Amino acid sequence: MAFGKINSVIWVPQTVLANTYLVSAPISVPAALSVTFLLYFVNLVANSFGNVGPLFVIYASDSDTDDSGWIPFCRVALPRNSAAIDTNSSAVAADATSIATTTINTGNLDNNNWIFIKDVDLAAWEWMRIRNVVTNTSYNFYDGIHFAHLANTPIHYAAHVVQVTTGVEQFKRLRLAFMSTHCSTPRDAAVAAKLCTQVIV
Amino acid sequence: MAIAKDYVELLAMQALAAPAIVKSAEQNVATYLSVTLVTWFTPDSTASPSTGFIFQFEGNLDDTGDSGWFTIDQVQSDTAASFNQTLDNNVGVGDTTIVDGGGSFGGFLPLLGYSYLKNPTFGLNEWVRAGRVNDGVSFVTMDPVTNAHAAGQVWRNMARVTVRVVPLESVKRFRVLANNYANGAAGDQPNIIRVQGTFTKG
Repeated sequence: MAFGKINSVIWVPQTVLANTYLVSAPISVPAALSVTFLLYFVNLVANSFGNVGPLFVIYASDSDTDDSGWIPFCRVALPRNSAAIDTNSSAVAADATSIATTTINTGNLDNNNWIFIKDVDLAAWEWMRIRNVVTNTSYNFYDGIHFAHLANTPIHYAAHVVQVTTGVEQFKRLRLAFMSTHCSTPRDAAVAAKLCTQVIV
Repeated sequence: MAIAKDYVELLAMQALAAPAIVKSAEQNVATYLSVTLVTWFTPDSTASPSTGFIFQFEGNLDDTGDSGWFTIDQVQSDTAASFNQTLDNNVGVGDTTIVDGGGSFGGFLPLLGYSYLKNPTFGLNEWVRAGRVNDGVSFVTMDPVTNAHAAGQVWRNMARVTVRVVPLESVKRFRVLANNYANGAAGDQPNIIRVQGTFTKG
């Protein structure tokens, strides 16, 4: 007997409009010991959510089929701050580790912060983590950019990626929700999510 | 089912300029439960950095690709500078007494604190732990030194050795970053670093 791990994509990058919510299909975990969610979020507009920001909620159920027993197992409250929006000043190729920017990165980003690159092609949306910022000049990354981007592609600063690891020994199913409905001032957002599940094989 | 433990030298002892970053090889941890990490660190300068240096322990849920690395845990250094202390006497292999009458160092080398013996031959550098400190005179190491060191050699008194246990239950890959960009562009200082890990699996 050994431990194995299964990874899956729960949500590809997608927009969640203000005042709406997104709920994943149930994820069956009857043989799982633990899970790690990686939750991606960005505020898509340059205004704050007011006093209350959006939430990721992980629901759990002890039933294989009954939808009456979902409980909110874990809540991740997201920052409600506004999102400065920058643009890259020149085209960038896939695998590059730096993006030249235009003007507004002073004081808005710190090392290890995430940015969101909102490519014109939704399939090329991506979150990237900042290694360091050269003020008003460029961002440098730990890893290569996944997709090529044209010049003047929007770059959103209020991006966040949250890791949640938890035991799920007593649950049969999980599901993930992103809740924009209760925000003080709902805004459009983009989200994505991945999951890795530990099982005995 | 038995538990097994695998030792990995994730980052060999090395100098890390400022600003700079070094990544360990990616570790496939698909069958591992946790890792115990030991980090060695010393500032290699008598100037103070503006902010601390960071060891980042990172996980990825995917088998391949770089899109999903996230930081599970960090070890961040303080911002103290390291003194240029020097050895008064030769130190032989297996010795335990380091003599340095060159002024007070006790305030920067607490009991059980670590110091770094900076040999002119890089591979002979080593971290040692002080079991007894006679400030301004000498200190006695908890364990015998591994290498010989000559009188006049520099030793640094601001070394740090830290342990972290990181769960890996539902992470596919793991890596360590030694990140000297944390300080920003100005005020960075070089460091000497090393990281080892012991990975546990069922």
